[in-house]
Amino acid sequence: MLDLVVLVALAAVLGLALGGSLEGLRRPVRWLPLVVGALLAEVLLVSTPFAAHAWALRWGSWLWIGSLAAIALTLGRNVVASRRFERAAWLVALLGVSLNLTAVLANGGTMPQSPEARAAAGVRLDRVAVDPEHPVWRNVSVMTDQSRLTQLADVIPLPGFLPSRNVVSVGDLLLVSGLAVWAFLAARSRPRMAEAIDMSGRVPSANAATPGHRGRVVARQMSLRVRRPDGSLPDRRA
Amino acid sequence: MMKLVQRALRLRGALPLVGLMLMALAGSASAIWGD
Repeated sequence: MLDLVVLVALAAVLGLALGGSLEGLRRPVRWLPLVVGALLAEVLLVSTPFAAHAWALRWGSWLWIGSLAAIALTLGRNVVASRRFERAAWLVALLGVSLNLTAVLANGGTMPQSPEARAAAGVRLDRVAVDPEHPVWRNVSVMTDQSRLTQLADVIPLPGFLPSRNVVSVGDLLLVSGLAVWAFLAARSRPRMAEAIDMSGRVPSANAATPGHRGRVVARQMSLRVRRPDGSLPDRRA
Repeated sequence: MMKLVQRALRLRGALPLVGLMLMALAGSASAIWGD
């Protein structure tokens, strides 16, 4: 999955290369602490000895479902807080996580992985199958005849030229696509002169959720001094 | 010291992008690190 994540950063770089501005990337993403918490829980489950603990074997799937739900909530919050094309990008990402969550819930808390796709990607079986003598919690499982909603499961092998071998789902691709489009749009956006000064001479806010943020960004770029709420003016070098 | 502070503030500006990447990792339903 790390390879796909890099695509998000590349999309931002592309936006900058096409004449964007770093200021665009500073726009707020809501509820980031929830994302950090969800990822920490997943890393704890997958990449530490805790995966073999009885508690993880019993409750690991529920913890993972909770972390996926937390990501879905975060994306939903950002859908509500954004507009137009950016909202569409967040929606695509939300759809991706929702599909993943649906497949995981339908399969008892793990994501089935297609054996054919695993072979095509070159992933070792022992990365998926669990040794009954040394059970550990895994978020992926071997796809069987009993697996449900297999179209939404991990059935897409990543191309061999990528550094890591992995099998991803349709939801994964939608998630990364939505986030990459948002990163591109954010990086490409530039403050416009018309947004900087309105007819009253005040620097307006283009973002109602963070009053004055965009206005301050534009003012800084245009070397304007904006009055503080107490009426004072900042130092010219600030 | 001031340069360090300025650099830290610039890095803080990259937080949303880092957050997006973490979101992609945490929201995926494949093996996080791959094989």
